[in-house]
Amino acid sequence: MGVLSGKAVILTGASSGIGKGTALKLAEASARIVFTGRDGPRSDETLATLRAMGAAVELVRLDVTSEADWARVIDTCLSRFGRVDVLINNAGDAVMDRIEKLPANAMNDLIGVNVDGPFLGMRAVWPHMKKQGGGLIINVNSVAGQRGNVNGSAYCGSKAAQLSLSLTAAAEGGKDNIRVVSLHPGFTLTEGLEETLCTQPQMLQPMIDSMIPIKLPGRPADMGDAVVFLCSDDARNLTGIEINVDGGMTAR
Amino acid sequence: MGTLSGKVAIVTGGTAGIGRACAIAMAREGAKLVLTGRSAERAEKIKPLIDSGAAIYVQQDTTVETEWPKAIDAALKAHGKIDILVNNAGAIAVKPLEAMAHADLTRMLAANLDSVFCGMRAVWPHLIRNNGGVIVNMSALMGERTAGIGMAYTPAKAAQQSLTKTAALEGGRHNIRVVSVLPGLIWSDGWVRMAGAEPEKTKAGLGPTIPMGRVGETSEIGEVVAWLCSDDARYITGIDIFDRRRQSSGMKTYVRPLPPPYLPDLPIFLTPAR
Repeated sequence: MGVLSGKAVILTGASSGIGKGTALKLAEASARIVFTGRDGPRSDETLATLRAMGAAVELVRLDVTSEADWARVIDTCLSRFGRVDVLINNAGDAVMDRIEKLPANAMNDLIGVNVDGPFLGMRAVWPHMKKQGGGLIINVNSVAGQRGNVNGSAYCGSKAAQLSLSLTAAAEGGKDNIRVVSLHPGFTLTEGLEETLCTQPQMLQPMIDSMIPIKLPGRPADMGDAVVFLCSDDARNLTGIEINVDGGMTAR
Repeated sequence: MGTLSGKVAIVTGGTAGIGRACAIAMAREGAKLVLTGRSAERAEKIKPLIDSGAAIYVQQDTTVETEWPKAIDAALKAHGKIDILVNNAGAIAVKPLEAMAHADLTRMLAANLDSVFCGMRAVWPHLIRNNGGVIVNMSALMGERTAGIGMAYTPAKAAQQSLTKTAALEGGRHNIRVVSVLPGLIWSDGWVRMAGAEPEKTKAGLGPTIPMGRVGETSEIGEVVAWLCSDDARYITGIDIFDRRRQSSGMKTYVRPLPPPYLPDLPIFLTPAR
């Protein structure tokens, strides 16, 4: 029996990367999970892995910018598990390039996925958490939400907006006993990034050495362990915070 | 089997308040503890931990460099190594500037900065020999956000946070993680003393100033510290863990300096629009 036994968790964007790493750690901790994923085959793979671990789990298709889709996700969680304790807004997107080269709709698109998504998710889940006497929302952000970076005008901008949204929701959530936490991964080696970097492996380690004090890239499992702690009762007094799981990258 | 089984930790100011709460949470996770405090009678307050074999007590003034070998030797003698240091001991002076002497600033710097420096300096070679470790430095929300009544305390905690981040950068290559914890309004022994004749009434009155509607308990910091010291937090270093329940509802204007970029300007970090 894990530390999250009995808890019902909604997790978006778990077909791969940090979302998948988080889903595996949640399942290890005995959470019951409703997850969403954009990539069909990969989502099915995550579903099969979680089921093989003995987890109670459902996969639902979700366009995070659709209010109707959100209602469906929450209905699934309520009808399957009878409650919703945690919402993890992990799904996100990035477009990185010089400001003059980005398409005109880049900012709008990223605001949709990175800001409208968490907003609609929190809005949809809020009354249910309130009725239950409380809940937890984790918005997966990025170190990009805390600082500017070359090529990141649209991405950093959207993540900074998301951070402000999280802190405001935390301030509002107090009286409903809803905690809201912003999680900031740093340079995390997800499957996607590993594929890209495989073309230039000689660049990777020197770059990591210069960027990250701990001299290791982050792994999805590192984020998953942080999420499990935040979901546990030991973290019951943490809200309105930015928690960086970045190997010291932002200590510079 | 706890998350800190087999780990040896020194907790300064471990006999009362947040320090004792850290000790209790860490002992529950299986850590072996060396708890330090200023006076021998304070050891009475941690008798259950000592009697259970989880902790030993060392009398120590953390602000004096020559007092540190006592704590280090006790840990090495009892357990042969050191994995964790929680620099929890500190002091607070709250009075208006016109009532403050230069000695107050000196005292605050000694208690909140010198003690942390001396502690990190003393354990550092042992953590390197140990192939890594964790240092948690107890700061305060006031160290980040300032407060009008903390003229000597606030800058001492701010300097301590700078020390923490610098140590985190140096510690990376030795696998030493260094983290700040910033408690907000936590009902510690110090607060109980300041709370007047009816502390429970004072505590209830402070609740509404916090989004969660209540003052925090020391155990709630202790459990966060125990987690930070565990391998579950293995990729966390150089950060401030805020207990920001108080300020997140308040108004605060601050200018953020331009931080360094988080990724180098390399073509591999271009992600085209889909």
